[in-house]
Amino acid sequence: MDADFKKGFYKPMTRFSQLEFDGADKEKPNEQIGEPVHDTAYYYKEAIRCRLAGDFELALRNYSRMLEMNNMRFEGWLGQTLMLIELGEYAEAAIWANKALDLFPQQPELYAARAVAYHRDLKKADAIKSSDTAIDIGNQSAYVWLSRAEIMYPRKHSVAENCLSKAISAAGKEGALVKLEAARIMKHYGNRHAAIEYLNEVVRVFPKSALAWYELGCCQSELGLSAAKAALEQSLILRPRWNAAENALAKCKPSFLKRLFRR
Amino acid sequence: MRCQQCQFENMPGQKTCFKCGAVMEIDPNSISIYPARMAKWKKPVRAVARVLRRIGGYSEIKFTPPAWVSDYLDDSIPSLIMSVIPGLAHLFTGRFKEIRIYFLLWLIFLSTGLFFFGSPNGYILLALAVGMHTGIAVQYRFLKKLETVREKIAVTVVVLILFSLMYRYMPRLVVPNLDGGNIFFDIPARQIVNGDYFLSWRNIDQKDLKRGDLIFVKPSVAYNYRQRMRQSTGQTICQIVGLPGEKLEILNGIFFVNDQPLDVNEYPAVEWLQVDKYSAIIPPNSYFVNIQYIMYNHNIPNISPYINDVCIVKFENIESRVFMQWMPISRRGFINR
Repeated sequence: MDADFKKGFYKPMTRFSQLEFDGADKEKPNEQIGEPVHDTAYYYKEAIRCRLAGDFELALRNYSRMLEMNNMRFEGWLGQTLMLIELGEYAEAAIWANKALDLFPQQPELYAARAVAYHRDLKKADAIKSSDTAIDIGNQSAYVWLSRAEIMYPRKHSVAENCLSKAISAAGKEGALVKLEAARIMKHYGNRHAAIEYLNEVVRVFPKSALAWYELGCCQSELGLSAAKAALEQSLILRPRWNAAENALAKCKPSFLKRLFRR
Repeated sequence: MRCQQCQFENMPGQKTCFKCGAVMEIDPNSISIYPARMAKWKKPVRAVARVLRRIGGYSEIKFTPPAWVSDYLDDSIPSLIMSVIPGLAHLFTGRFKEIRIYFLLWLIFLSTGLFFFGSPNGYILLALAVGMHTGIAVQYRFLKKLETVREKIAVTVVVLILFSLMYRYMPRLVVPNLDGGNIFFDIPARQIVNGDYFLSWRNIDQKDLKRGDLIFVKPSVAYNYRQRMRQSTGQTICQIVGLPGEKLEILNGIFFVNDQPLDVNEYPAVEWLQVDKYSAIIPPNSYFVNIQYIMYNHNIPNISPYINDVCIVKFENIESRVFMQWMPISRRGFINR
């Protein structure tokens, strides 16, 4: 086993630890001038940036490029699996998680990702089994609890919300990102008020995240709040011509009949 | 060497864990890092599968065959018998995934072959379906069990012949009343052309038969004069021209029924019936049919006895009545009576 493998296998890079948003760059005293070095860290950052912009296809590509440099980076494998889930390719995501598990058999996050893939593919028994394995391994990260929350939401809301709290408390510095994911889960299962609370915090931390603005706008739109339009417009400013945001904005605008009969 | 996944102590040099199958020694250069992507056409299919899972717990149903079924199917002959329905043996033993592509191809060949049945392309497609079916059947056990290529080829050929016979005669068992065949003369008024393929139904009532109906007669009727005449094909469609008790005449290739001429475009006399003069009273329970024959001996002095014996057929010798034109596709449809 080479040094990279050891590094990737036993000491995985903390997820999102190398992110730089907003003013973070300014704080760095020895910032590189000119073209950045295209190393694994660069592609990882790019992948996270694309994720936060809601461009999961490009994020997947960046994770793959990251693995091209070093295929023993656990974050790359996990990221690919998560992006496949986001793209709706659940069967492929489960296969990819299994493949990653061959390389990193003790990573609970991969089991958790596989559980989400099964859950969204409505393979409930497999999802629970995989999630149980993820928790049994121990050393649970925020994502393991997020995954558990998503699986438990249709069964028992209180347990799911407890899992979400655990995820946020386990997140530490990555709290905002975990809150974004938690809010997306809550939104999916209809708990929009709580989702908006989280998303407001997220957009404060990541004001340049088109995905966060979009999710916030969607939640507000579903609750009939007028702020939805501004949030969705903001997401379109950050990521112009984004179909999902454009459609959501179109739905947000009152129809001709609504305007006609408005009191 | 300890497995990272299950902690099982494996023999040195083992690449995968003996217990759990996990990869133990990883060669970083040999790992593919590009995930397989979902084909676009699969998206709606998977959505349907998800709906099914939501409704009926589709994913929860996992069929595990009893041990005796697997043991029984381990033998070659029972597996072959089971494979009369392609993939059934594989399905029972949970090996359907091995042949799903072949099964799909078989289904495509069979359905398109039946769609084009009656044309050369249809026969080629059906032959491919038989080949695919044979492949599925021998793949289950024979190919693994036999050692030499010669043995494998011999068994495959035997199975292919058996399955070809099965495909030839199985429709008779499945739909005993359905029949089909080609016509060998033109009926311009009905846009029927020599070589068109028709489907017929065996279960007929005498009251149903009308002038102009296309029918199949028993081959024995056609073969009575085999010594002197040669029938153009084994299965020939003929057209009812005269009904029981009617007086039928042929004069210069035109049919006259009870002294009334029939439309030549609707009732065209076939080549060998284009005689100078022929006249007969059709006996009860019999029909005069327009049937295509090729004469062996063109110098037969009096053709009337042959016409009587070949063209006047009893009801019990009528096999089936045509109900549908199948080929060509452009003229496919039920026969308008």
